[in-house]
Amino acid sequence: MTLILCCGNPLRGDDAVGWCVAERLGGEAIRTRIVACHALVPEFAPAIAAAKVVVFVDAFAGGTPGEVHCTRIHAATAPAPPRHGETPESLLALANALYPGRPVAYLITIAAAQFEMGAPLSPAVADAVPRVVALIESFAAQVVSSSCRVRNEIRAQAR
Amino acid sequence: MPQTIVVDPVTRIEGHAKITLHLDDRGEVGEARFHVTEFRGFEKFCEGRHFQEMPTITSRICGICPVSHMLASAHAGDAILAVSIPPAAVRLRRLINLAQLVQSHALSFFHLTSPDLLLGYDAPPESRSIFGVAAKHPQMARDGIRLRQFGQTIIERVAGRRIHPTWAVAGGVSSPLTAETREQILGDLPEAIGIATRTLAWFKRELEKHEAEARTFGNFPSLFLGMVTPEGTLEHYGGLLRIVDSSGAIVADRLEGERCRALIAEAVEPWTYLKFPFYEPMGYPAGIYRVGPLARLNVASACGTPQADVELAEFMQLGRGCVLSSFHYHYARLIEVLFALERIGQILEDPRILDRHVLAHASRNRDEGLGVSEAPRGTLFHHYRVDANGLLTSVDLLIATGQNNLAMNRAILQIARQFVSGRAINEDALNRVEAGIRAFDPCLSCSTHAAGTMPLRLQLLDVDGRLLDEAVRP
Repeated sequence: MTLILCCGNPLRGDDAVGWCVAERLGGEAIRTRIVACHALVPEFAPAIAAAKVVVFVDAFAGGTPGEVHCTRIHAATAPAPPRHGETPESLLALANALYPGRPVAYLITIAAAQFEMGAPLSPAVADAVPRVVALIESFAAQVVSSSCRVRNEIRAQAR
Repeated sequence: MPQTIVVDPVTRIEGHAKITLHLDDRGEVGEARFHVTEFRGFEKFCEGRHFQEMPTITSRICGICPVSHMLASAHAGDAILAVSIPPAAVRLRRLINLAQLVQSHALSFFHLTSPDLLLGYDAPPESRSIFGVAAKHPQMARDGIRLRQFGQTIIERVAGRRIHPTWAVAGGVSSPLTAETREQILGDLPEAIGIATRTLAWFKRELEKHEAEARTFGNFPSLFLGMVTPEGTLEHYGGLLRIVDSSGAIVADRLEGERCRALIAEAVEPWTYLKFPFYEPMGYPAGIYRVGPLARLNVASACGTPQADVELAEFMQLGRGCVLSSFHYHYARLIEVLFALERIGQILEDPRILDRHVLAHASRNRDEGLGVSEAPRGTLFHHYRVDANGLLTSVDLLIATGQNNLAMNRAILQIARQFVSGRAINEDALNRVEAGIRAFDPCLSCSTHAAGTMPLRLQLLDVDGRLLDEAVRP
């Protein structure tokens, strides 16, 4: 099973990109669970541990708007400072500490142009959504077929 | 020479604050101040909005207890409509309020407090988190995650989403409960009750290790305010309010929201945005009172569910009349979780919970409405006035954390007098002041409607306000 955790605030401009990706993915992918959330919380740890592949999707403050990066990530080795939401790495560490599963994990970030309250996605970020969806679908397909090995790092360029 | 120690920011609570400790000429702590330095202004910017929008707007005040604000707001809306909402809607509101209590108390106890209890107040700050607990006590961490997940899942199944739901409305709720959802919740319930009972048993075994904290973490007489059923048992929604003194004697009883609110006045101090509510007949600050789990157990004659009643009877042995130590908020929280789970089972076993009639239709019939719910941290009041079109002309939100403000300041003073001396700040004092505040589980996002995390800074100032020492925890 592939778990897609799309994180962000749908009311804050480009921070909604994760939710848009989740919406576009819908229920079409095979053996894939898609979750849109405001923040990464410890309650996701059991689902993360139960997955074969976990993909975190989030907006990123910096870079060229619309730029997409996909990076293989690993469990944090040291706890992050207390904050409202966990990081993908700290959540992986929590899942590893508490449950038997050891999923392969990726972080897909989409460079944002703005986080204005109530603003729609910037054009460049909106253009990135189908590319992110295609990328995730390729992950899911690889997990399902088990015939393709997921690459350790993929880097996709926005334009 | 008088000096001041400042703790800024305080960590592992919801919101931003700092603490200053003012030393007197002898180097002893003479005064403690819990400063809340942020302001969001929901009461002001909601003016002009329609009262029926308020459950949705005010649920955004807090990501931990949005359900409490949604319910208090919808309750105030019921009063403006001047309707008696369908019985199934009352039951459903009660159900979701208890689910939120479970998830919020689980967050407070397992995620925020258990690191202190399990790893020690003097363990390195970076290890005192749910991750530290996971490393050394994985079953406790799994239990905390599962219990919080249980409460959140009920909210999601019943109201559509786990954070900021928009389901309770003036006149009732927007959708009934399905039989499938009821069966799902009932199916998960035994596991949740198992977690609650074993955690309570563990905590009671640990209590004697924390005698010093129980003695000094806000252990003083005060009034207590909480909701009860008409029979005087524990209640969190749709009940009446009761005030008792530290001996357990009833000071005021069977209060509707309006009557109770009229007994509470608010003082203002120039050094904080958080007001100081007090019981007006006794004046300020003599009218200090506490709300929340400890207060609710102190005002209730019984819980009204089998296992929680046994636990409550044992709990009350800790005091003569009322249990006075704020450290026992933790214990009270665990009993409330057990009660909530038992009560959720009772509510769901009643076939009337599936009644499809859950909304009363009406338009504005009154120009004023006051709603009350027991939020995880205590009694929550929403008071609205509207014009002829239902647009808000005034909004007053009296929040649980604010009502504990006087008590939190007094608790800090008591802790500081025990653990702080001299001109320097040591880690021991810092940890205990922080832990003492955390016993109240304050939510500053609610009480001032502030956003953000809550790091900690401790400052030592002399009589002229000059900084002598400072400790900062990011």
